[in-house]
Amino acid sequence: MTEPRLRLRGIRKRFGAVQALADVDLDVRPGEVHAVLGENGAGKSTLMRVIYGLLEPDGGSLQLDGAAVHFTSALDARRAGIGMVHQEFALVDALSVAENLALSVCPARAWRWTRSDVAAAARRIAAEIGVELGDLDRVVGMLPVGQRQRIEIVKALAGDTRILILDEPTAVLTPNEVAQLFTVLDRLRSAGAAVLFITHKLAEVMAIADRITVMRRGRIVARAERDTVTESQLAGLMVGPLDAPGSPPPAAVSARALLDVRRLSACDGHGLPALHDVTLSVRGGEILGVAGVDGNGQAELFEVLAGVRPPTAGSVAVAGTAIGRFAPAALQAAGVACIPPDRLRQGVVAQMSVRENAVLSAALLQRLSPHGFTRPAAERDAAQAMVDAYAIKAGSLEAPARSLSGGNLQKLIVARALALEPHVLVAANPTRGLDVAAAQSVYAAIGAAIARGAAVLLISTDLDEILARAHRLAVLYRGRLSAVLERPFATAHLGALMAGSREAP
Amino acid sequence: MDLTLWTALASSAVTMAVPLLLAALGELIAERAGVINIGLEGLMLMGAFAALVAAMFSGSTVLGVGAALLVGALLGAGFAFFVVARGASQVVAGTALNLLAVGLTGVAYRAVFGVTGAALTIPGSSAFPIPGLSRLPVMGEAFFDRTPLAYASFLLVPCIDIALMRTLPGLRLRMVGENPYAAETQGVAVARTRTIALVLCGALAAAGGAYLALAYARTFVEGMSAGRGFIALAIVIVGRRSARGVFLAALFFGFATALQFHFQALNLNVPFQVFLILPYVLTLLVLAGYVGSSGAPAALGQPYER
Amino acid sequence: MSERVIPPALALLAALLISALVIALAGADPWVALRALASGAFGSADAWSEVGVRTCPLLLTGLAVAIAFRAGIWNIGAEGQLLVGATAVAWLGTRVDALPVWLAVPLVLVVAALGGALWAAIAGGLKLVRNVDEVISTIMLNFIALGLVGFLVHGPLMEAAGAYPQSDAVAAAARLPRLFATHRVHAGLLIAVAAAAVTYLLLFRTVLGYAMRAAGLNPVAARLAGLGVTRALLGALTISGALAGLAGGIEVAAVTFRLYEQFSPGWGFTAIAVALLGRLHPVGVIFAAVFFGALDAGSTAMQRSAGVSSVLVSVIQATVIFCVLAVEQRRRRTTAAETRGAPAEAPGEVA
Repeated sequence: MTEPRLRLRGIRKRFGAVQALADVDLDVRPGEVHAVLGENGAGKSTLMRVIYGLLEPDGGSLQLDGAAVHFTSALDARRAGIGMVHQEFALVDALSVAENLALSVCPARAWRWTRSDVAAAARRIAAEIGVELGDLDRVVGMLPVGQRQRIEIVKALAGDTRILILDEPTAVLTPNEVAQLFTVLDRLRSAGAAVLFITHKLAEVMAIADRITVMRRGRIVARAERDTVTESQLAGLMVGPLDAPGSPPPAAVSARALLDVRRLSACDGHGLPALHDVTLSVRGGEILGVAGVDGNGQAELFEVLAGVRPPTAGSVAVAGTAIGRFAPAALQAAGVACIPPDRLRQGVVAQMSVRENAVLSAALLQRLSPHGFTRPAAERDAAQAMVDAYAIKAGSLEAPARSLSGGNLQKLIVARALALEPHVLVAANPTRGLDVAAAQSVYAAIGAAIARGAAVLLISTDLDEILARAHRLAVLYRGRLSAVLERPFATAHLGALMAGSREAP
Repeated sequence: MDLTLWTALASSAVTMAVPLLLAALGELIAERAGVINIGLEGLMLMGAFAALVAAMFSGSTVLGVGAALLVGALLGAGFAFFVVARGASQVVAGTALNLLAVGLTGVAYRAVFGVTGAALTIPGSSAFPIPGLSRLPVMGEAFFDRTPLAYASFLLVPCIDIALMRTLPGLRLRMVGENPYAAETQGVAVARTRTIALVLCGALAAAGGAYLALAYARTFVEGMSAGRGFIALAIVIVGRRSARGVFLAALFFGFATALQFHFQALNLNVPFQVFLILPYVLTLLVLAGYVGSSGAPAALGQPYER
Repeated sequence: MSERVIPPALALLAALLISALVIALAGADPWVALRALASGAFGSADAWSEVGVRTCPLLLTGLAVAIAFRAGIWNIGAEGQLLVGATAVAWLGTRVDALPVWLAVPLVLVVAALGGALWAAIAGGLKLVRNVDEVISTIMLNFIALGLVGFLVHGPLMEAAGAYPQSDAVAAAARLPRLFATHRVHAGLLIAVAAAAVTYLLLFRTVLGYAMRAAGLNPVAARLAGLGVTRALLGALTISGALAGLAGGIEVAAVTFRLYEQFSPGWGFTAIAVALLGRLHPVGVIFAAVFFGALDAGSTAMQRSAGVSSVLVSVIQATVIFCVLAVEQRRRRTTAAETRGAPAEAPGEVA
């Protein structure tokens, strides 16, 4: 057996209360494409950041070509021969292809760079892997994503690269571009390169990988040669057994759909289509879960329902009334409340006090301060009520919000969202980064809301959460929503849906 | 309109343009690195004063320019401390720089020259006409019968252009201005690059002030920069942040400024102040008229935190 | 509370020390100079009155800058806005001689505020419609206002006598009364203090002010909350302009009675130092304005007694700003750019 080019032993990493990586062993051999498979939260990206020097592990060792290495920065790793193609390309959009490559392909101490020098060096690398770079003067920002990725690959291969790591490379590619990428990887493999490939997509793993390592919750749960395993087996391994504590309370579901979304389409921040024809309805008293890997349209779905992103097509109706204007205040007035995915950046104004954050909502302000003048006493009462009802630990109502722990902040946000008894609650990753106790209180609050008859749309990348809490669920993949599934949920099927597999379980 | 008038106008235009060009080139470098420096006005003022004092006491205009460059570089480095190392607001720091310059030059001026500010004339730079070329109609006197500093400013245009676009250090600087994160992954020292850019910016802006004092006014008057630093800001935008664009925009604004000195001869029936505000109105119109992106470096004005 | 007072206090101390150094380098005795400064500011009733006079425009423009900065709007155009306000009063003030005082004065003040507000609204409109950066546009508008004033006092608004480039004196009916018969300090100061109170109420007791503050600190969260961010920002800029315009108008109506070039010694720029030193809070701005007003009042005495140019105060102002910048912790505003598209990666996040 060939000596592994990269060897990891016992890698550990902890972030606060969360063990991101536990006891990870990994070998990557030259001349192979090795896939690391797992869903969001499995620890794949953390592992890659450790290998690439962006994070220092708490324990364990790395060996490159048999020699122990220790990286303190990405530059270290780069110099040692680790080339990485990031998920968010580290390319400068405003500059040309040649300019983006120049720093990597030109000698470090050189003063001048010429297009022809860069062209010669770049094309040499590109030819080895069968990539066509095209016009080097074109501005990178104008290029299709697949082409940009190829440039990133060439960039990563410049210099003496021992191992190439790709982080979710197919996340943004069309099927055609994926095929092209795989041709490149094939060539790399034949040339004896070691390639490490992180993904959550089963079909692609089956298409290109030689060996597969499956991660779940920071641990390696399986290793297999591609030929010895099927997609559905992998799906099951990725998702794991259904070990959620308890099932959701029986839904006192009303017949009436409080949230009715029909054929909703929307684009993302770059103007690219992110949601296609999404249709769903949530009845009063139930939780509908929207599962899926991050980046498949969840953010856009949330933003449309929050009113900060206008849809390009389709309609939304709340309690039977169609939404005419997509603006946060209008949606709040219609009875929609939101729990945003990023509490610090979207949910609170960190420098403002707890009291002021408790009323960070147009609808609530309208209720408490209808004449345009704020009423601190009323606000204090409202804030105190929230603190009491949800056991929020805050020094005082005037303490700045940033002094609260993540769990307490989230509780405040939930309390605020539910303060006006909305018809619909849209919750995006409501328990991300929270410990068990905080998560429980969040769900207690949501449970109370359901008991009252509210409809809850739970958008979450944490499959365990959805499996435990949702009454029904659907999977969002590449902006399209799958059919809605009823309990009991077949986890293997789910995993497959999330990974875009078309293979029937 | 006869040739003499055109020639005079062209000559004035270039005279007005040179300090603007120098300051704008400095700002160009800073903005390409992602930092906006609205303290150009103060830098020009300090440069003018430093050049004046040095030239007066040494008798050499070369030393005058050198003093200005030094002062500008130091101020640029100081500015970099606040906005790069400490991540302070670039707008506020720039405003403070302007205030500081007004105060320091005012105090120093009176301290060195007394309250009356008695006739401060200095030898000033002499012009060096380029044989042959300086005889060209209209353009000859304007471009080819100039002081060395003016020639230097013209030469800087292609130099900076090449430096930014064709050298690796220039590429690194541009990357820092567009995407500091990407630059850092390629081993570029973001903070150091921005500091160097600001030092250069300071030096060039101060050189612009030196030209004002040595070649144009041949004296120092409090507040003599008279808004030129802000016009330079506009020039960088109008010139789309390219050296060539800045050159043309500087000429254009220089022309607009020069009009005020010749308006009587031009027989235009508009109030004198129209010429004064013309550059600023033009800037607003240009800014308002830009369709799509303004071409600003993507990371302009944002402090970078690793 | 102490974390809000200590940095500016430190900054002041540092500024005074550095200024003493500058004075010494300029060849004068720092102790003599600073003492002259102090006595020129607080040494007599006349001095106090002078402080009152100098404080008034600084307080109003300081409030203007503070409210804009709080909302995240870089209004560098207070100078131009105050000039337009002054112009409006210079124009209207000569035409209201037939009106009773209780009508003329408020009218004149309203016109001043409107003038400043309109001038600021130009920058606001450009930002809203054409996404023009307000830093550049307000600076440009400063110069355009200067040119406008120059044109007017040499032409349409020039005094009837035609001797100097200044406007006619405003009618007696439009003038703000003095607070004491023997001193220059005038009712405008009371208006300025009232304006500070109103600004406080606006910022901390109204929904609009709440929206402004939230938008200034975290525009993403403010938008998501449905607070009407665009309206808040434009409102902040317009109100800011109104306050600055009022400053200019009051100067004409109470101190100079005429408009002329060089009308403002740079109040709009000093206002930035005032606002920063006052931590962008109306109460703080009052103290900071008094401080700078005292500096201004004392500087003439300092120039007379110690021979140090009165323009030294600019050095003190600049040093104050730099010191505040240096001691202030890096308070990062959560920008929209950080949230849009960027992977939400924070420690504790398992990805």
